[in-house]
Amino acid sequence: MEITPTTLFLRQAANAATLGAVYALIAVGYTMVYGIAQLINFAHGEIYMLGAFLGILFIGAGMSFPVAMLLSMASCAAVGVAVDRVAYRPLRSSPRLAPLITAIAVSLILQNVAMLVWGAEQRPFPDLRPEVEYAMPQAASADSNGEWVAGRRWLEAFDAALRNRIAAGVERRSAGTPVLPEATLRLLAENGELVGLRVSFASGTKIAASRPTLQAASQEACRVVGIPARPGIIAESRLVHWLEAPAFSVLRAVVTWKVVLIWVITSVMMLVLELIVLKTRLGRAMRACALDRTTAALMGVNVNAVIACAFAIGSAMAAVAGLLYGLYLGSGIYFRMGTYAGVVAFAAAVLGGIGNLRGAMLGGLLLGIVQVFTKAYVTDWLGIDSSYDIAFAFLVLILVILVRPSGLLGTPGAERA
Amino acid sequence: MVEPVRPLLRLSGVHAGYERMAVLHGVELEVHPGEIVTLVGANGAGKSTTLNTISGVIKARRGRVEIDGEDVTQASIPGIVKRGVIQVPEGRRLFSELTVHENLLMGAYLRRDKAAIRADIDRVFHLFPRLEERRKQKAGSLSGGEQQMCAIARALMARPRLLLLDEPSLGLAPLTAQRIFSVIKELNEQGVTVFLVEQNAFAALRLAHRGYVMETGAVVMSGPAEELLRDPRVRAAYLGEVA
Repeated sequence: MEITPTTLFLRQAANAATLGAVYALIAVGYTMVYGIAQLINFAHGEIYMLGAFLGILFIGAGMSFPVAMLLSMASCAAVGVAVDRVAYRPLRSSPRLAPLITAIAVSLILQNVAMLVWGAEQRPFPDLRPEVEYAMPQAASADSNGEWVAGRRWLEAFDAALRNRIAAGVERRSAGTPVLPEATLRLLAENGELVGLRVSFASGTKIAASRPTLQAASQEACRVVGIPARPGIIAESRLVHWLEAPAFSVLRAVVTWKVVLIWVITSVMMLVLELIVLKTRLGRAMRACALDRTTAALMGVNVNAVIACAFAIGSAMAAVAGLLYGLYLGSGIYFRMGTYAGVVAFAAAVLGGIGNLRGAMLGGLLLGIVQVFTKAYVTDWLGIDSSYDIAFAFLVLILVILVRPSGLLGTPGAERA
Repeated sequence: MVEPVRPLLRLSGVHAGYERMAVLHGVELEVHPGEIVTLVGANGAGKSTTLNTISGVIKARRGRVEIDGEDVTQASIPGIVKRGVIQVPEGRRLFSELTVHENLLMGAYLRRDKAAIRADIDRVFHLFPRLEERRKQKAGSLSGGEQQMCAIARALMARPRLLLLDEPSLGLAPLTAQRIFSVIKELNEQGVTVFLVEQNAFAALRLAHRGYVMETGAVVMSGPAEELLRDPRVRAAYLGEVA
C-alpha cells in the first residue's frame, strides 16, 4: 500500500495537534504563574517530567489510567505548591533575578532526584494491553492426571531460555520478572483435536523481548521437550488494547483512540481552566491579582494563596501533559524530558503572549505544528538532520516576537494578563 | 456628638515608611463610630502612607494601630478587610480588565452570602445608576468620575464599618467631585464611618465632623471641622487665604 501525500499530510496534522496539545498543557502553567506572580517558573518542566514518572508508577502499580492520571495530577499539584512555598514565596519582594536562580536550583534538584529514584535510562510507557498471547502449536500432551505435562515443561524451558538470554545481556528486560508466574496456559483445540497451548501474559507483564529472542527461546524449549521446532512456531496474537485501536480514519490516515483521548482530555482541561478563570470566585481573584496584587489584597484576597492555586492548577496540567506524552510515544520518559519540553512550552507561552491563557494554548498548538511539519517536510528538503525541527519552532518564535513583542494575543505595553 | 469610650480606629505613635525613607513620625489619631473624620495636608505630608499603614499595606515600625481596641499593627491586608475597614485607594485602582460587575464582586470577595451580595449590587446600582448602565463594560473604559463611583461602590460591597477614602475628588470635574462628596455624606448618614484623606481641605472639612491636619508625617492640628475651617493657620496653609 502506497501512502499518498494527502494521507501523509493528514497523519502529520494529527501528530501536530497531539504534540501541540501537550505543549499547550505545559504552557498554560508558565503563563498562569507569570500572569499572577510575574515569575518564570523554570522548574515547571520538571513537574511535567514528574507527572509522567508518577503516572507510569501508578499504572505499573495496577491502577487504571484515569486513576493514575488523577493521582499524578494531585501529587504534582502538591509538589508545585511546595516549590512555590520553598523557592519563590520567600523571594516575593526580592529583585526578579533571585527567584530565577532558585528556579534553576529546584529544577536541578527535581531532575537529580528523579534520576536517583528512577535511573538515567528512558522508561517505556506501561503496556495497556490486557494480555499478550503466544500460541505454540503441537507442544502439548496430557499425562495420566490430565495435566498438560509437555506444555508445562515447554513453558518452563521457554522461561529458562528467556532468562538465560536476559542474563547474558542478549535481551534487556527488567531483572526479577519471571515469565512463569505471570503466564497462564490455555488449551488450544481445533476440530476437537488438541493442537497446542496458548501462553498468556497478564496485563502489564513486560514480556519482552524482541521477536527473535522469543523465537530462539521457543526453539530451545522445543528442543528440551523433544518436539519438532519449526521456525515461526511462536505466533504472537496481540490483543490490541482499545486505546491502540483505530478510532477513525480519514483517507487512510488512522487516528487511534489514544490520540482521540489526548485531544479530548486536553480540550476538557482547557475548557475547565477557562471556566475556572472566567466564571469562578477563584478565577476572578486570579485575574485581579494579575492586574494589581496590592488592590486585590485590599479586597481581602490572600494573594499568596491565589498564587499557590495557580501553581497547583498549572502543575496538575503539566502532570497530565507528561502522562499523555508518555502514552502518545509509548516511551521517552526520562529524567531530563522536562528540560526540552519545558523550554518549548515556555517559548509557546511567550509566543502566545505571556500571561495570556488562550495565547499559551495557541502558542503550544502552533509550535507543535511547526515542529511536526518541519520534521516531515522541511528538514529533508533542506538536507539537514530532522532534529533541527525544534530550531524552526524557535525561529517562528523569534519572527513573531520581532513583529509583536508582546506575543500573538498579548496586550501591547502591558506584559501581563 | 457623644463620644463612645472605644474608638473604631486609633493610631498611637505610628512610625512608618518605605525601604529607606521614613514618612510617618509618630502619628496620633482616632476615628469614632459614626463620624466622618478627615485628614488634610499638603502633597507628600504622609496622608496616603497613613491609610496604607492602617490597611496593612505598610507595616508600622513603631507605634500601634488599633481597630475596636484590638492591636492590628501586624495584621495582614486581608486581616484588616475582615475587620470591616475598607480602603478606596488613591487613583481608584480598579481592576481595569474586569467588568464593572466583576469589580463589584471583587469588593465582596470575603463574603459568601450570595443573595445578600446580589441585593447589595442592586443597592450600589441604585446609588450610582451610571454603573448599572455600564455593568458589563471593562472598568478601564469608564470615565474618571464613573471610576471613582465604581471604586466606592466596590468598597461598599464589603459592607464596610469604616471606609478609608484616599483623595476621592482627585482629578474629577468640580460637579462630579461634589456628587462624590454628597454620596459620602449619604453613606455616613446610613451608618458608615468615614475616614477621608483629601487635598481639597475646604471640601473635606465642610463635610467632616472632625479633622486632622498633617505636615511632614505628623499630625500638627486637630479638632472639630468647623473650628479648623475658621482657624487662620489652616485658612492660610490649605484654603488659599492670606493670613
